[in-house]
Amino acid sequence: MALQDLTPQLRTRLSRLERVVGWFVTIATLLLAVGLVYYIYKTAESRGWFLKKMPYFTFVRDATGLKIKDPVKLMGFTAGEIVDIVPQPPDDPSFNVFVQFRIKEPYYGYLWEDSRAKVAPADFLGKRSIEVTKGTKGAPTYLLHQLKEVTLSQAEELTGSKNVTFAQTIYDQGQTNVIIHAGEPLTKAALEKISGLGLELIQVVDRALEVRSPKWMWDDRADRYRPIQKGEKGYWLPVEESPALTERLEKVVNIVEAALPNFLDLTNQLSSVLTNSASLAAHADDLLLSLKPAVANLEQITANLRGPKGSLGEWLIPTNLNLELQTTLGSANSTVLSAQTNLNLLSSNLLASLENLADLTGNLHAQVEANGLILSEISDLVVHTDQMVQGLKRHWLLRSAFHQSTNAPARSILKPRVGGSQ
Amino acid sequence: MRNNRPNCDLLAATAQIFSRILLPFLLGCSTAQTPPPAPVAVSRAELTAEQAAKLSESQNWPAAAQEWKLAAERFGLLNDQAREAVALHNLAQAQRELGHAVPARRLLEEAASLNKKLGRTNEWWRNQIALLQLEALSADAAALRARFEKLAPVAEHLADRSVRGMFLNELGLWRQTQGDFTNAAACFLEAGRLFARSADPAGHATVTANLARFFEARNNLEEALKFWRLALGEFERLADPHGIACALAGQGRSQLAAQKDLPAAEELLRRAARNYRLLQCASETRTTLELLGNCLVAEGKNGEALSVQAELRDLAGRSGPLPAQ
Repeated sequence: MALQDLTPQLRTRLSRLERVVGWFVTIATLLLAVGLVYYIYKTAESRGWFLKKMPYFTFVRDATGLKIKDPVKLMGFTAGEIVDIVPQPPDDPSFNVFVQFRIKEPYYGYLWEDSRAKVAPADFLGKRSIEVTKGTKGAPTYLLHQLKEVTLSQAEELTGSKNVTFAQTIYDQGQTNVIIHAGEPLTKAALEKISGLGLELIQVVDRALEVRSPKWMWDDRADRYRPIQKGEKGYWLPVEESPALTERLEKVVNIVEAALPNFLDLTNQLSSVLTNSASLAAHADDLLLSLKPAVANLEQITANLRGPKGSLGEWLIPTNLNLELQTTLGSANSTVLSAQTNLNLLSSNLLASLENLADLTGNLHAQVEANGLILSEISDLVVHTDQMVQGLKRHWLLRSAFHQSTNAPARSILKPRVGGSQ
Repeated sequence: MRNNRPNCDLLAATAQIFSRILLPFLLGCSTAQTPPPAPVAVSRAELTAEQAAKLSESQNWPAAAQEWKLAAERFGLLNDQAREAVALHNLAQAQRELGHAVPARRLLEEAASLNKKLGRTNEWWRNQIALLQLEALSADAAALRARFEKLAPVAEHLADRSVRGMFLNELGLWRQTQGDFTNAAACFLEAGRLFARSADPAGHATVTANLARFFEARNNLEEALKFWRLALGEFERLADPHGIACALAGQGRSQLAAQKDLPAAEELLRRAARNYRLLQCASETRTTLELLGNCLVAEGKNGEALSVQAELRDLAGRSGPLPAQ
């Protein structure tokens, strides 16, 4: 039925309803669009898509355990991510693998000339991660303030401000001794020091003026800042690379393997020491037995000395006693010498074993320090996984898949009977 | 390494963005709270009943009796009279299997009294049928008659087809013992129809076996054989070892009575005797062995018949579990 066929009242009511519906659909669509845009904006903000990112690179021995998009840490924060991993050309004798990563703001402000890229094991499965270290001295890798290249006369006009500092390192005529370090304040005394060097332009930085996006990058070779070129690979951070955990464990095992013969030698030495001690005891026993007649003789001597005929005549040291004493003393001397040799050997072996043991525990300590958080992280992972599964069990879409079986209610047992059976 | 598949990356990035938009909608929907756990006493009583049911199913009657007794006590402590009545009924069934007819009867009466008080008609009927089965096995014919006379008029109003089928099955068996064959056959046929309509294959198989026995009693051996074969098929489909042994023995007995294909009858009886022996049914084993002996004599295998006789004598003098052959 066409709209024209309706009564004017119905037509009015219908057109009003259509208008309301139209408004409702428009507002709902707008709300949905606004919500979507807001969600995307918040996600982008939380993921750091709007943040400025500066490139850095380093060279590693091998790319084991590293992959693109892995996070780069700084002081425990996720400061950026790896963007490229490529092997160096085959004829490069110095470096093996090129790793480029981007550090987002404000973290690149912490990276100075002495910052390093530490490549350390991240887990027991061979995974490694990059951690950049905070700079403590030298120039910032990217300049966050306004840099000016001025003549000495222009520089004189800028002296007196605490915010203006040198942005380059200046050497003496022989290019051997540093006269001005980058970051030193711009003073008249400093300008006098460099007045005779014939410098046309010097780089100074005004720390009062921040720039929105860094335009200057520190040049290690020139010891000054240079403008950032388009397609720049970034700033080179020297690497401190630890081998993968498996490799380190292998080394530990090798040390243990090397230490084992020493332990075995030690046990052998202990065995020989014990044998020698037994022999020593036997000799001591013999000595005591040998001394018994000597003591009897001494008793006789003293008796003679007490007697009326007491003198040191023929009975003082009979021939047989003299011989026995000589034999016994010789034997005792050789035994003591042997024991001393064995003890020296034992102590040297013990010292070597203790050193190996110290190395072993030192390595283990390093392992534990490097992976101190792994157990707590695994524990957190298990707890969170359990929480997620429990949540999924209650979710309206999935709870039917986790339906709990309930016990069937007990029923009275009754079976029809076949005639003639018990 | 450089990624040389930009299209895949683009697709993956798109999927990642869309999944993040859609997942909150999906996961944000309201979820149900987990129901609170049952009280300890209730779950303990239920666990005992469940354990007892398993023991009854595995025909471990002494243990089942203990567990059902414990379950009845625990349900009694919770004042759950409905489930207490069920436990008492099942305890009575276990006592009956152990040969303790008197306590079994007392327990069934107790359960029936509870069910009557609670108005659980269907359960009350189940108690009554169990009492009928108990009294049918005892020599108290008067009590059985009195119970049938009390129940038969009200059975017309019994709504549950399966329970009504069981009642009619018992009624048919009683009428058969009374010589009222016409009404017995009618009862069996009606019971079979009710079991079929209530989708109770075990009941239907039992009624088929009873009909086969009925025809045996009427000396209509052709029909008896036909029904025994049907019963065997039904019991096989149900995987019911007792039913299978019963149908094998019945088929062998009918063939022997008809003097038809005696080697097949011998085979059937041998298998039935072996099955009864494995099921530790001493009385049925003896009966089947006697039939086997008769079959062997009819076949002229007197030597084998003598060995069966010796086996029978051995069984008669033995107490405890039957030996495996």
